[in-house]
Amino acid sequence: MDSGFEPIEDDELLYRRVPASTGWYDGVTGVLSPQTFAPHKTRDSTGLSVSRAKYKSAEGAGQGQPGKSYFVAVFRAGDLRQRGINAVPRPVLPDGQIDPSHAELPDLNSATRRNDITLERQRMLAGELIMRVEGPFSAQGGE
Amino acid sequence: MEATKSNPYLSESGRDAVLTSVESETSASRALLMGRLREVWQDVIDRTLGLWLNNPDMFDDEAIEGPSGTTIRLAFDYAETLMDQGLAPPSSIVPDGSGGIVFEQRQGRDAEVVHIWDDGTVEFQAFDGPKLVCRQPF
Repeated sequence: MDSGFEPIEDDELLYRRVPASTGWYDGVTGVLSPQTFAPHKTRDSTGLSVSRAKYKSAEGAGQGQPGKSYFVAVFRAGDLRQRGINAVPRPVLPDGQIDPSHAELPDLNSATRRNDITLERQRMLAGELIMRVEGPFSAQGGE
Repeated sequence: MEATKSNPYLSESGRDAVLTSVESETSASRALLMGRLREVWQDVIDRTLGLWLNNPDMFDDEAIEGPSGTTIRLAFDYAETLMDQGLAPPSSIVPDGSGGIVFEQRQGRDAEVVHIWDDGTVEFQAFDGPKLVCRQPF
């Protein structure tokens, strides 16, 4: 039985949560900022976090801090791999808890966040590779 | 990496484009145009930098680190500089999620960026689609 450790298939959809407060998604123009995919300077040491649609709904992926709103950017794993961006399962969280839906893009990480290729990959993800943006969703206590 | 295309953040072309269209107009019309440009800039600044400065907890999300007051004030200075040069306001001003701020001007699939990193470093970046074609200190 799959448990989140199985490899991510090319046809799997992945979600990236987008806090509405950042302005990274402009609901009027439909433009998504490349900063949506900017690795954090310390927290993304192994890769940028995403969720597997196989285990979590878009609304579930769009949960966060209570009272806050989030959008969810949707993309396909195979499309990313065709452009040199891999997606790997990471169901074991840093605190040791298990979240089958948790996955990472290891090519976008804290150590390389200021590299040219990372800036380009961010722009690819926000532009050519994004399928759609869903939401906004309001956090109802977090997951 | 050398600049391979002009950009409104580094070259005079942006300002010149504005002046060319108004050189034949009266000085009053030019002043009106510049005044309106400053109003648009101020609106953009108020909705972003000003909002962030007055609401330091608005990025209180477990995955987002908002810019510090120091970084926001640095961004104010750059915005003032660009505004005083008569350049159009950016398409967006957003945080980079790690304490930095990004000014982005989009034209079709191309973009020009002034990125204020969390360590105070400021860069100009130009993109042709996703391809980075210019990157240098600003």
